[in-house]
Amino acid sequence: MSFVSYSFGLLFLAIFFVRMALDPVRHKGAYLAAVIVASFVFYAWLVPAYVLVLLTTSGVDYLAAARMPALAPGSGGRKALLVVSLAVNLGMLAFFKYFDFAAGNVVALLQTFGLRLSPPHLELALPLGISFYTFESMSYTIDVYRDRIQPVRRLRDYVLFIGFFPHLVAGPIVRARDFLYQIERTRRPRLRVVTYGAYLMIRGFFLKLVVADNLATIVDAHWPRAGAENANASLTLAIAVMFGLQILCDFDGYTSIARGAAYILGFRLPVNFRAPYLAGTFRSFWQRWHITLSRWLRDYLYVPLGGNRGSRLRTYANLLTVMLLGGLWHGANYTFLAWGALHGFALAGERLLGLDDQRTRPRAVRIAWLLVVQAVVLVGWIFFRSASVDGALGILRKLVAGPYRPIEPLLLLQMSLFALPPIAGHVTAWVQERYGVRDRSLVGRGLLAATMLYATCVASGRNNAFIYFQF
Amino acid sequence: MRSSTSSSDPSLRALVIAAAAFLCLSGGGCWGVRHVTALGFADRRAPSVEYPDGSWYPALQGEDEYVLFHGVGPSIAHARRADIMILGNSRTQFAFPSPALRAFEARHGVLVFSMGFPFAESYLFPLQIIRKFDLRPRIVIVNVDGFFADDESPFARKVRTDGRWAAMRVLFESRVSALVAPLWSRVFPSFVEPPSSFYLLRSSTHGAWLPMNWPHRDKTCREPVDRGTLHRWRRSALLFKEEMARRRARIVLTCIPSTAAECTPEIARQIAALLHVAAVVPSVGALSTGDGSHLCPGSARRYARAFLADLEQLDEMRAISRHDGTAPARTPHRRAMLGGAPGAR
Repeated sequence: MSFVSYSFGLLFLAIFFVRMALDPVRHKGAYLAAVIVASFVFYAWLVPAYVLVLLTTSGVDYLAAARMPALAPGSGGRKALLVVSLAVNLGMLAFFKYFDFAAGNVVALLQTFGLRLSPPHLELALPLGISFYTFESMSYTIDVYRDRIQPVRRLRDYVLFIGFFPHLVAGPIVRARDFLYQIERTRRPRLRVVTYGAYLMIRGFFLKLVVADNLATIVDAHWPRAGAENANASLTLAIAVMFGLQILCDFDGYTSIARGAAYILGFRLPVNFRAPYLAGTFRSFWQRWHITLSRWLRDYLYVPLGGNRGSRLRTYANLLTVMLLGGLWHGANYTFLAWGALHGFALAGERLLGLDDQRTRPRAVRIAWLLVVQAVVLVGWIFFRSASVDGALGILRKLVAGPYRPIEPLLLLQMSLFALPPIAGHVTAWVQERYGVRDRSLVGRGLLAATMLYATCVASGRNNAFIYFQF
Repeated sequence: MRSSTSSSDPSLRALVIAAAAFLCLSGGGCWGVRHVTALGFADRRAPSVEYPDGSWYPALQGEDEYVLFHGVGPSIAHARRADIMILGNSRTQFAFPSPALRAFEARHGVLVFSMGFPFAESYLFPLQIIRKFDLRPRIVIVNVDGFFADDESPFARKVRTDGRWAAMRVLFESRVSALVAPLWSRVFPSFVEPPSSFYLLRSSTHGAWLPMNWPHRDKTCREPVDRGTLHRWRRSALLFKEEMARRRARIVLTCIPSTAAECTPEIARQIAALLHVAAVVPSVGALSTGDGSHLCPGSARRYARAFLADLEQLDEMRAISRHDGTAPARTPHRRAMLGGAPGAR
């Protein structure tokens, strides 16, 4: 189910009324059961059969983790359980997401040696949110394996952790230790909670429907010709920048709706974005962009690979490996690999140059490096958005070769109008970070919410699927 | 809500201020688009959808492709009983209005089902529906305009890969949208995506479209130009003929006039000659399209009348008409559908 649908509106209203109607102490169990039912309706709404995939991975992980405490840390049995859990999770992910891609590459490789192979082309529809809930489920078993958390006693709690609908399809990627403790909490409905949750949801719908969807119309119309020989390089550059804003507002919008919905239902989900285009270093960018994914990659991939504890070369190799896999996580396409590789090399290069910590650098260096960082991020988005690496290279060639001509004023006005909200958001975040200004007052937030809600009612673009739904 | 609803609660104050601001904006917006000329463009209302009866459903966004491919509702059951099936693009659907077909059905005691599709769909998609549900009409009328092109629209591909459940979902959203949009557009102007002022319904009993408030700016149909399409369509046409022959369906070709058609009467005749089937290409003067592509209602009525009159003269039609004494016996269900008493002719 998409957040932008009438069915979601009805489902959310129903579960909200259940929350308001039930006694928070006496009917806690009934309320949690209702949330689980709503979560399965939410997930099954798209392809009911894929609930089985979700139940398989979560069932295996629940059982594996439940048996771990009985086995000594580091023992063979415990390792075997972890391996089974990881194999099921990664196996499902690989099968649904990468089978056709891998088979195509194997065929191409064998053909170079004169061998012919024709594996089936499955063209499977990707189970919604598989990349997200697989990571969540894996983090749980790994944490239990490492004795960081105790396994949950009830299957109900585990199913709620994995299947809780606000974060199920496109994150934020929630850790068990950040979520499980909230299940048993007594949650009394308070106006403060509902109003803040509603504010987050309005913010999310505004970012998605007004900003991202309207920018998407512009980007989609011009992207196919952005690298053409007779294209205007100014427009190509502007369209690339617009895509950078579109994907931010699309994903940040989704996360904001998810966090708001969860908050109204009595759960907290982590923040996923903090004005990423203010990042002055690549390291800072990944502390601001898709924060829950970058933390997951750090804790469950980068650190186990050795992190920065080995030689310099090993650290760079680890960074590159993590970012390549991060790119591949987004999808089975060379464009995502190129995007990941670009960020991997950038992180390694920044570390090599000692530019990852900017605190002691002169202002001119900081500003110059910020521009470099954002330019590389932009190049990354060009790979991310393009259908092929060749297409992306064509756009980059256009940006280098020009010619740069003025953009049609009306189009420029449209782009500026829809780019304004995320830019204003970044300026506000910069002022808050720089001068320690407090967040808006409640009244200010109320006025902002009213304005965003009205804008959503009168200026929504053509409804597009959330970009991160495909991952 | 507990302990937080006193008038001094900052959350309540913020909520009241937000609600008041939202009401002011809404009121100001309504006033603005009605009184400030420059904002008038945003004052577009979505029409209230009026269904002639429960057998019609909204079809403006391609919902009908989901309905027919996944067999949602009674549409396919009706298609299965049809003696005559009409295939083609959206121009075909506009050219055969429901009343003209119903009158023809009553005259001849046959059932007609229109299975044309929007998005210039070629023969591939309807052929898959015919195979999937084993449809066996006795006559298939084909508007050759783009029909034998060898590609399938991306939307049709999506419809095929989505399941039946997706079809139900699409229909649900579309029904709710048809209810909500008119009310919504009364309160909120639309500065970016104005709602459609027109809508389209499709009948689940006979597949015809019912365009409502369709833009109507008379444009004379131009003389179509032969773009050498016969050569490109030859293979597909032969394949289609083979499949229809297996189903014992006779093909009748036509070419619906338009300002943008990809066929000419001559092409229809040439393909008919190639396939050894009949072509019915009536010559109707001064036809016009309402939107540059689809026949406007008056022209559609005249075209359908002329086409059906010509069709009546064909042996294929005489063979199935219940009024010429040669019609084969019909199943009781078919008789019921036609409203005829058992044994009646």
